[in-house]
This record gives sequence, structure tokens and C-alpha cells, in this order.
Amino acid sequence: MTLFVLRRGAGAIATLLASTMLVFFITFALPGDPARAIAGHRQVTESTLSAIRARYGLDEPLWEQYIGWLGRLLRGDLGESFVARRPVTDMMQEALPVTLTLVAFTVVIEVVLGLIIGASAALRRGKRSDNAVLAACTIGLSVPLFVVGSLAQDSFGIDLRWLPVAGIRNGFFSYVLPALTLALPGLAIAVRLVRAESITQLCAPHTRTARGKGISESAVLRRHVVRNSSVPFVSFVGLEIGALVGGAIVVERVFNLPGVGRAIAQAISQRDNVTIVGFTMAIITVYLAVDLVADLAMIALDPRIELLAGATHRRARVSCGGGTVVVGRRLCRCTAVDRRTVPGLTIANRVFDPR
Amino acid sequence: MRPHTRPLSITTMALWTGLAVFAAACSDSGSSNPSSDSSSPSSESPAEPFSFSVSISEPSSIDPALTADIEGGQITRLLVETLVTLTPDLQLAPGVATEWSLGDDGVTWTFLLNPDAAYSDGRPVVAGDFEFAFARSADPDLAAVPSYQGLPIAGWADVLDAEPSGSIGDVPVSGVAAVDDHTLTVTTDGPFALLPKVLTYPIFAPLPADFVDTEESAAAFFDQPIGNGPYMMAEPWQHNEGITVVRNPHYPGTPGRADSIEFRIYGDTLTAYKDFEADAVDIARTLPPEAIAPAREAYPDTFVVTHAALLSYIGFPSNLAPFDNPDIRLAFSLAIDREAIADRVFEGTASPATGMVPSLAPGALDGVCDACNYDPERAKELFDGAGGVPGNSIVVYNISDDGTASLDPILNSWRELFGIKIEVRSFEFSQFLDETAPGKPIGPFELSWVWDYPSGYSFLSPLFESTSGVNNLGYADAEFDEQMRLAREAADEEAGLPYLAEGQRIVEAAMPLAPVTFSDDVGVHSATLTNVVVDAGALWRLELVAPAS
Repeated sequence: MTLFVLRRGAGAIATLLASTMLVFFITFALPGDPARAIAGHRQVTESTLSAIRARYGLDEPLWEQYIGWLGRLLRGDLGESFVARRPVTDMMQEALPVTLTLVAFTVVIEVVLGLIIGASAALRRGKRSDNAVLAACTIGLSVPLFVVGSLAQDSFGIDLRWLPVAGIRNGFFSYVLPALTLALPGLAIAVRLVRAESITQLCAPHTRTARGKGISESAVLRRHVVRNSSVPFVSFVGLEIGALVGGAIVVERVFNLPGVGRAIAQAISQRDNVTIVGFTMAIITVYLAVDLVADLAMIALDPRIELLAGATHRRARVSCGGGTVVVGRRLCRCTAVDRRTVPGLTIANRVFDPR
Repeated sequence: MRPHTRPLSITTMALWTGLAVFAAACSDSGSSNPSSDSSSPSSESPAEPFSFSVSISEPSSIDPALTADIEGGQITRLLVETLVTLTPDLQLAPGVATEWSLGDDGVTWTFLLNPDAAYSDGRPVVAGDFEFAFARSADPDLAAVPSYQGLPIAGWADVLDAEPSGSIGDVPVSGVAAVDDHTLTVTTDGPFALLPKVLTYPIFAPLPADFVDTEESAAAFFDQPIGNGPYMMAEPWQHNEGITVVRNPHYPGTPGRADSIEFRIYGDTLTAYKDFEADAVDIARTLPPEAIAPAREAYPDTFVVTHAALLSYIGFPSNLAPFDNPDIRLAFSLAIDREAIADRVFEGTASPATGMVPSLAPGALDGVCDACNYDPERAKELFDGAGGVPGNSIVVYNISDDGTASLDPILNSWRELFGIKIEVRSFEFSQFLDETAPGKPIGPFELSWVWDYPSGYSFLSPLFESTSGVNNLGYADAEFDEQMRLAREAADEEAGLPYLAEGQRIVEAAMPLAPVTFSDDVGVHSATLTNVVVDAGALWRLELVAPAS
């Protein structure tokens, strides 16, 4: 396990470096002079433009700028924002907690409601309420976030005055509407995923055996259905957290949350390259960390997934029932000997195959 | 607090219907969180103490030397007071200087400072503070975008163009001298009647060197500048959240009416308006187009429209064929239906341009821009008379950041009227500025211009004078340049107005650019507030805001 974590950690650092290099070169190599973007259409003199370029090292070759940026990164310095003239690390310290709080609220909503609604729908399979859940999930997946957010603001903030419309001044309550909005598409997927897995488990031989042994229905559900249904769900949550951190731009803008998404959107519009690169790196870091934790959680939940610690291949190897498969960076989950699918595919199968 | 009388909206009812379906599916009724105190507006009542909140975008800086946008200016103009200030109707008024005069040499201005002027920490303002502040603003180590404002001052360009020394404010500007603690002289390179107006810009506010002499103090100053204005920062700037200012007890002038003003920072103007609708903020500045009509209808008594000095225009490369032919330029300008654009595209947030200079600017002339009217027949006549355009096609430069909504009606009109093909080249703003730098564009380009100080000169000189660094029109006219020189060297601003008028006539006959709209600033405020004034520089004069009762 330790070796696995170390290998994954090394892989994560390599991924991080490669992606930051890519983002750095793409961002800095874009046409247009950032110094001119900072100055706008003003009578700014050429000497001022030169001074701006010198201040931010923009007059150096791109590779030198990148080496310099990497050197500062090792000292924990992500540079100074071209526009705000503040250390990017300071900006990140302000923005990251906001986004992580939003994501935490969102994931809790998705997990709790996803499990409850998904399992409930599975128990009422084929009934009117089950169909209504599936229809609601389709709506949740298809309505754009800014529309949902705007409706929520108009309804709960302006008309009913129950919750704040914008900002983070009201602590916990500030995050309720944004988190509910952001959770909607993920919740729709979670509900369908849990529902489909639960239906599979409800019909599985081990569940029939448990019932035949006289175990109470609640215990059967808790120990056999929900637990076994949760493995792809954990994988989904891992993917979802990473996606939410990077995907909160719309919700943060609509609800005026000063988080990572808003900072990146602002930086892009202002050609604040160093801020774009710094924040992108933060998102990638969170994504990689969550990815690793999700894989470890899956191993803990499903003993059939075992690691071949001695594997020398860069990809993780897993044992699936009677066979071993290499499934890329991701671990394999085996619900049966003949079903070896990566979690992403499992999720897709479950979502689009409601059974 | 405004009474809440709105019925439930259709969207709310639709949302409830959707939720009901979902709740039925879950067989579990949704529970609701208790209301927070968020619905309370910041100003509980107009009784003492009086405070209010106002929406704002994140300023790029509130350091007076770095303030380059209207958002930063909104804050810094409360925190600092310059030698000379502007009244809400943009007339010059005493600031730190109680009197000022121009010497017989025509270039040396003497300012007598108010001995009671003081910073918010009680320390007196002295003339030497201006010496340092001017040197700091010009210093290339600071690389301040608005530093060009000081170019008329003798020695400013020498400091600005020097190699960075690594220390900020260490090279004095030779044209600035403290005669004694309460007397300051500022010398210009040549006669410049508009200097007092230039000096109203925040980069010329006083600043003692020891406020920013160490890395720590400079960092602290960046987030909590200490100034001599009617208000002071109550706490450091909460980035992307808010800035709160309270009345400065040491300010010798007319104190601000409110005890404190909270600036709430929004990333989106529509969200700010929604927060206003929820009674969470008292003034929503700069409404987005989609909120204009609803706000006008919902708050007719507190809806604020102010004509701002921002000109949106289509520039022509006037030294390149076919745009070197004045008839072609006139034809393209006459083919623009400005009223339709102002009404349909900007939905009331802009007025049709009537000339090169917004009519509220001193020195502006109305009714002399013949080619600012929509006259398709004459346009076609001029176009055909000039022989059209080579290849029957042109290139137009578009700023991609704001889409093409305002440009499309113009291009469609040109296509239909002249039967030409138009290649639209869209660029992100910084690249657009590179592509349309002086001498580069080969076709018309969209741009806008806002004055630096309230004068027609601040439009005419930078846009059209042959020596201007931002004249990307390829336009040069010796007679126009002469009028600008005469305006600069007039005894005072008033004496320079006829030259500005003549300059405007010259460019409006030549039409090196086609003015399209003058932008308006639109906002709305709570009924608990009164005396909400916005000046023509789009600055909300918040120090004047009073409780409605």
C-alpha cells in the first residue's frame, strides 16, 4: 500500500509539472502583449510599458520565465498578479477555502440525497415515484447552472427572503443556494447511479441468501445493498470533487462567491497569466489528491480489489476475480468475475441504463 | 428597509412546481433552513448613525498612485484629497490648496496649502508630501499605468523614462518644489491652462515618504491607504468581498454625510442588482442591460441615469486608401443608425453620439457633426461618388471580449447599403490593441475613449493630435494641431474653449472616426437614501448621500 501511495504520489507530481508547463506556455504564448492589456487603451508611454514588462519579467524569453516561475514555486512563491499586484499565494489563500467549502457542501448534498433518493427509487422501481425521480434527474442534468442559480436567487432570495442572494457574509447560509445549485447535475447522476446499483444488488444472490437467513430488511439494505452499491459511488464522488473545484466558475459568478472559479475567470479576462497558471495548478493538485484518496477508499470498501504491490508497470494493476487487468491510472472495480469495467464506464453504464 | 410588496414571481412558482414533483418522487418533503438575517439591508433606518452600502467591482488598486479604473477611483477619491478638486458639476474647487495662481512666466503654478489639512492619523499635510507623491507616481519602479497624467509637468518625463533604480520615489520631479510647508510650486514644460484639472487625478494626492518606506509599510498601505480625504479605511481591504470607509475626523473640509460607507464587491453587475432587490445592498451601480427595464419599472423614483463621458466609436485608418478619402469616411458614418443602436442594443444605457466630444464636456459643440446623423441616401451618394472601395470589400477589427452585438447593426447597414463584403477580424482585447496600434490597422476598428479629466481637450488631443501616442487613426492635420496648442497655451480653460470648438469643427468635417454612442451610467438606490448624485465622470458622489427622511 505504501509503495502504491508513493508511486501514485510521484506520478501526481509528474502530472502536475507537465500540466503546469503546458498551461504556462499556452497562456504566456497567447498573442497580445500582457503589458498592454494591463495598461488598457490609455496614453500610457512606452517607458511605462517597458517598466511593466520588467517588473513581471515579461521581457525575458518564455522558457526563462518558466524556469524562474518553477524556482519561485519551490520556495512557495507563485508570483505576483499582474493586475492586482498581490502575491498569487495570498489570493489563493482567500479563494481556495471558499471553493473548498462550496465543494464540501455540494458533495455532502450529493452523497446524502443521492443515497437516500437513489435507494428509495430502487425500492419503488417501476412505480410512479420512481419514474418521477428519473424525470427529475433528466431535468437536473439538462438545465444550465446559471438558469438554476438565477431561479433560486429570484425565488428563495428575492421573493421569499429565506436565504442570501450573494456573497459570503452570512456564513453557512451563504453557501446553501450555491451548493444546492452546483449539486443539481451531480445529484442527478448520483441518484441514477445509486438506483441502478441498488437494483442490481437487490436482485443479487447474496441478497436473496441474506433474506433467506431471516436477516431484517433494514439490515439487508444497510449491509448488503447500500455497501455494495457504494463502490462505484465513491469513485464517482472522487471524480466529482475534482470536477466541482474546476467547474464552480458559473456558480461562483452567479452567487458572487470569491472563490477559485471567479478568480480564474477574472484572470482570464484580464490576461493575468501568472494568476491563471497558479490557480490552475491549485485545481490540478486538488484533483490529483482527491483521485488518490478515492482510489484508496475503493480499496477499503471492496476487498476484492487488491493491489499488486510489486508491479513495476506505471499503471496500477488490480486483481479482478480470477484475472488481472491493467486499467490505466484508474483502479479496476470488479462486481463479478466477468465484469471488469473502469468506474467511469460503470458510472456511464448505470446512468444511461436505468433498468 | 424597503417594504417587501412583490408578489411571488412566475419563476418562483415554476421552481416550486418542480420541487413539488421532486418531493413527491422522494416521498419526503423538503425541509427548509431558517432564514438568516441576510435579508436585512445594511442601513437599518435613516436615523443616526447613518451608513449605507454600495456595489462595486474589485478595483485593480486603491493606492492613489495606481488607481487607473473607475472602481478604484470611487474609493480613492473618498480617501484622498488633491490640491484642487471637482464639484459634482465638474467645476474646479479648492482641495488641499486654498488658492492657486499662474505666474507671469505662464508655466509656474503656485498652490497655497490649507494649514489645517491633515491625514486620517492626525498628521498635517505639508508641501514636501506632494514632492514625494509626485516622484513616486512617476517612478518607473512603480510602473504605474496612470503615470502618463503627469507628462505636462517639467521633469516628469525624465523620471518616467529613466532606468528603474530599484527604489520607489527616490528621483524627484524637477518641476515640483515645496517652497515652504504650505506653499508648493508646479512648473509645466510649456504653457498648459488645464493643469489644475489634471491635478485632480488621485495620483497627485499627497503622501509622506514614511507611509511607504519599508516593504511592510508599503504592503500595508496597498490594502489600507492612509489619506487626507473625507473618509478613511476602517479596516484593510477584504479582497473580492468589501471595503468599508468611515468618516475621517481630521478632514478640515465639509464632512461626508454618512458615518460609514460599505463597498460590497461583486464579480457580476446582475448579481449586484439581485442583491439590491433582496435589500442586501443600498445602491446598485452600473446595471447590466437586462436589468435596466425591470429596474426602471420596479424603482421609478430611485432609478438613476447619468450621461457619462465615454465615447464609443468606429475608427478609420485615415491615411490608407480608401479611407484616406474624406467622402468614404463620411459615407460610412452617415450609414450608421445611432438611435437604433442606442435603443435596441444598449437598451437605454447609451445615447446616440452627436459629435466627437460628449456634450457634457466643457468645450463640446452640439449640432456641428453633420455626418453623425443617419442619412443612408447621402451615404450611398458619397460612397458611389468616391468610387466605392477596392475589391468591394473591407476588413473590420472587432474586440471579441464584448461580442459583436454593437458592431453587427453597423456592419449590416454597410453591407446592405454599399453592397460590400466585410471580413471581421476578432481579437481578444490585448491582442486587439496590438493589431490596431498606430500604423497597423487596414480597416475600420471599434474602440472607446473616456476622458482623464473633464474637458473636451481630454478627448480631442489624445485621439486626433498628430503627436499623440494613442492616435491610431493615422490622422494628422496641422490646423487641428495648432488649435490644440492654442488651447493648451491659453490664459485659462475658459480662454481655451474657442480653440477646442474650432478643433472639433475640423475633425468633425474630416471624420477620421465615426462616433457611435455616448455611454450612460445607470444605477438604482434604496428609497431610504436621498441626494444620490453621479457626476459626468461616472463617479458616484457618495459623500453627499443622505438619509431620505
